Amino acid sequence: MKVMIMVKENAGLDSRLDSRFGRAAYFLVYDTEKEKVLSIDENTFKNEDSGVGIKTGAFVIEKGCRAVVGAHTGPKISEILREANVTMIAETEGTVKEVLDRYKDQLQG
Amino acid sequence: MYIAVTSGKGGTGKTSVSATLSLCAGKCTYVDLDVEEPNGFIFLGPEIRDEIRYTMPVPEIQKNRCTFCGACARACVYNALAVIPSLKKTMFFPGLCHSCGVCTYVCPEDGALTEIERGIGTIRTGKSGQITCIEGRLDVGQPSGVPLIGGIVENYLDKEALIFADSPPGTSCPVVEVLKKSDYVILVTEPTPFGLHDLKLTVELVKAMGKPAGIILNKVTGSDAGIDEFARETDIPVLLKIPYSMGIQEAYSRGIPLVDAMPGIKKEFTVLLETITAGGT
Repeated sequence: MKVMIMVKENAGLDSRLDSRFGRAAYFLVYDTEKEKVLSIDENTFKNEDSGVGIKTGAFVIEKGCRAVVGAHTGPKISEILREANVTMIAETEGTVKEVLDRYKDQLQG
Repeated sequence: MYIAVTSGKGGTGKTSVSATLSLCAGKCTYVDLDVEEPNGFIFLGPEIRDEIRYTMPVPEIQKNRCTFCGACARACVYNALAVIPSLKKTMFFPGLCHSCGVCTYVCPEDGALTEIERGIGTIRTGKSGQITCIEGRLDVGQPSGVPLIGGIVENYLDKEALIFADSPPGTSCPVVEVLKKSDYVILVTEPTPFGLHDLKLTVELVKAMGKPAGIILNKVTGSDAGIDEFARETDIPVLLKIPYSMGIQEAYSRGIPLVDAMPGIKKEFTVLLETITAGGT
């Protein structure tokens, strides 16, 4: 499956997680079957005044991600992600590599 | 004349002061704009004549007409709409909507987005003697009282009347909304380090907004906690000092206004009011 991980730097599997969700610096997409990073997009709406979570939620779904790893999500993002049955994993510690290992059971399929 | 009664710190006596000013002024308007916890009517006990729902226009999505093109979501600067074409979903988040109407304007599909009215609070009006009483009460769960405050200031206040607006505490958006149209701001504070700290924030706000202001120091026991010195430095007059007294506190605990608990203070409030309305201080 494709999983989006909220990171604070563009450093591939070594990127550290961001403490923010909708205002994270980069959105990294990893494919657990192909076992590779598909993309790292700079968050272009992190400085908007309101509703960045809503944009982020829609972005996760449009990228085709079935799971997302990042800061605890608020009610609005959660509502959007639930619509698409996206698995939400609240985690802000470690690198992408560590997180993929830590949650590998939940990120299969 | 529109006089706003506000404070940085909560619990300093805004409602006591604005209710007492209203009772001393005679013919005037008391408006409770502390919409998250309006309680001034406890002091004034007005006879309620009207109660209306305050509404804002918001979009309503007609699912069978929406093509999920995303024009509305792209146009909304508050990101109150999410369109997810792959799920054939358009979602609306009312808490972020500012009722600007741009979504319904840009929607290219006939009838896919329509505007409906959504209630956010209740406005009660009534009379207590010669005092016209108005109260805004925000619905539980609403993220912001600003539209309700703005709506009352815009539509319910007679510009010619002498108005006392009871503000929420602090320096954020609801307070700014209360102060915007004011001609004079009364800052209520107490002689504690907390009172002084929060007074400084409020003084910054009124200076930034260019509003003339004066201080009422409430619950005075002895030390002024540096309030007098700060007032001198910032050139904001201390209009009145209200003593701390068990009699006042006891009356407050029973919902009795300050002026009834301490009739002698009426003269001081009247003089203060004359000074402000004459454009002095």
